[in-house]
Amino acid sequence: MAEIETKFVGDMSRLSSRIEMYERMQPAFYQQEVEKVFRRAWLVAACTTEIPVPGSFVLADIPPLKLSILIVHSNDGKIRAFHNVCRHRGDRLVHTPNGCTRAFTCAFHAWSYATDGRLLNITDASQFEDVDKSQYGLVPVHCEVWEDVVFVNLDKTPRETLKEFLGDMYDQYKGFAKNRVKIADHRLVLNTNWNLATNAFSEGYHNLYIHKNTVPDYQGGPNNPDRHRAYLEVGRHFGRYSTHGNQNHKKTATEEVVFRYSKPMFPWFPKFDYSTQPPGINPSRFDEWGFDIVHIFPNCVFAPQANTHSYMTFWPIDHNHTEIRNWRFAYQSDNPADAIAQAYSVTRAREVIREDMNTMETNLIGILSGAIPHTVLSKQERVIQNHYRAIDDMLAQD
Amino acid sequence: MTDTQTPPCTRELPEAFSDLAALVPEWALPSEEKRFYKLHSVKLEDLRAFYDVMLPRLPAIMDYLSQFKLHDLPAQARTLFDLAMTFVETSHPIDLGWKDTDFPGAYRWQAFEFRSISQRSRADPHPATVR
Repeated sequence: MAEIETKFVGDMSRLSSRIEMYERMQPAFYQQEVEKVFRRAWLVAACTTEIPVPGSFVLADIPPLKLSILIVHSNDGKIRAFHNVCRHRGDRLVHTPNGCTRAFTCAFHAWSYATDGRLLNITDASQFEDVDKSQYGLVPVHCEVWEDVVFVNLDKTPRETLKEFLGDMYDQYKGFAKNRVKIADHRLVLNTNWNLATNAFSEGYHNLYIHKNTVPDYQGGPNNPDRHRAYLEVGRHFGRYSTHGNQNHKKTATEEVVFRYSKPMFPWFPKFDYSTQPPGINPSRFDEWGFDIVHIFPNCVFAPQANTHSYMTFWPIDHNHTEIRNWRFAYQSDNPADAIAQAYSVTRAREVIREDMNTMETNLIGILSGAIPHTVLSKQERVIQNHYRAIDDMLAQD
Repeated sequence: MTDTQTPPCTRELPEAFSDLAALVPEWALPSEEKRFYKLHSVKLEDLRAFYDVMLPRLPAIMDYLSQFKLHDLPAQARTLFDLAMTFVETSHPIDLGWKDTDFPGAYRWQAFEFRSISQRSRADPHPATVR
């Protein structure tokens, strides 16, 4: 049987298959990325499942900009973001990473703020001269909710709305995350460059080779021995592809039991009816769909599947340290058996990403050795090509 | 073993699963974080002994727990739930035929930090709903 040919969509004309990586891993180059990419792009900072009710809040660090952002579900129902900084003397306002509150009170001198950022109370107020409380609310940060995540933009005035920034994909996932709950949340810091970390999760070429110990047969099949992507698309600030779920996947002993009680989940991808799914899910409606990988430029990899999805974000701390955040979700159910099956699936996936992560530090060392003049990227790695095209476009702006 | 559950707190199992009682102190753990550290602190043969007892009992456990609501588990069912969660999350080395509790080519497990839902039980209510 003939091998599956990838359906390519989008403007590939400005992609390069040769990328000079050594220069991109240097501190000076990284400084440009901080100022022109991370300070200007829309960034996935939080998920709405962490802030389900009015008064709930979560902190989001933005390591490349050394910022702590307070993301709040305000009492009026709106989700807002603020610099996590007290307007009095500039100390950190909130120290607990998440919770639920009626007001935020600074530990230093007890100034307090409402959940919509208004300054509520100045302690010993008579000792302050000419302070108009209405001028001393928390400093807002631009934020927009998209499906189940909160994007922030740290520019003084964003150059684009989130809808403009995301382009075609903005409207293509409407409601997909309805009735999903977070089932895992991991954080790691690696000695690698954030580009390499993002790249490791935005191509499928590797999966035949490095995942032998965890998911040897989850993708491909007799008609797709090299596991080509079924579909691959590039946009201005996203790149995405669909994987081929192996219909002959052999379940392990435990997997065989747990999936009798639950909906199918990673690493088992039987055919299902996606006709009711929004158009971004399995965009080419490939019959033997596994899951999609969506690189949301610059530093998020979003992976929708039939009954689960995940967001991984890759945050530079400096040019050779990267914080990885891994958030995993599954369908909501009040049956304990579903939670057990989901725990099986998500921890199997955790072991898979440990294999992906294992390339990241040695990849940086290899590039910094200066031994190779450039990397060579295949058509299956075009989402990575698109990543560097998008970086260079942003760096070229004033 | 000092791991305790948030209430309701019991170390007893439902009567139909009393044959698993000896596993509870060591293996009925309430969070992904605790279960992950357990996986990486035992010998493969101890893990296999736990696996060999649990795998044949898993269908009965799933059937039994399915009669309850996740956020309203009776105390004994909650202990059984914790035990089953530890089983499925530590089954991978045995299921996948690894030669140890960890495997070559994996990024170091010590680097993982667990947050939010990975630090608590799926059976507990969302903490952000309590002011």
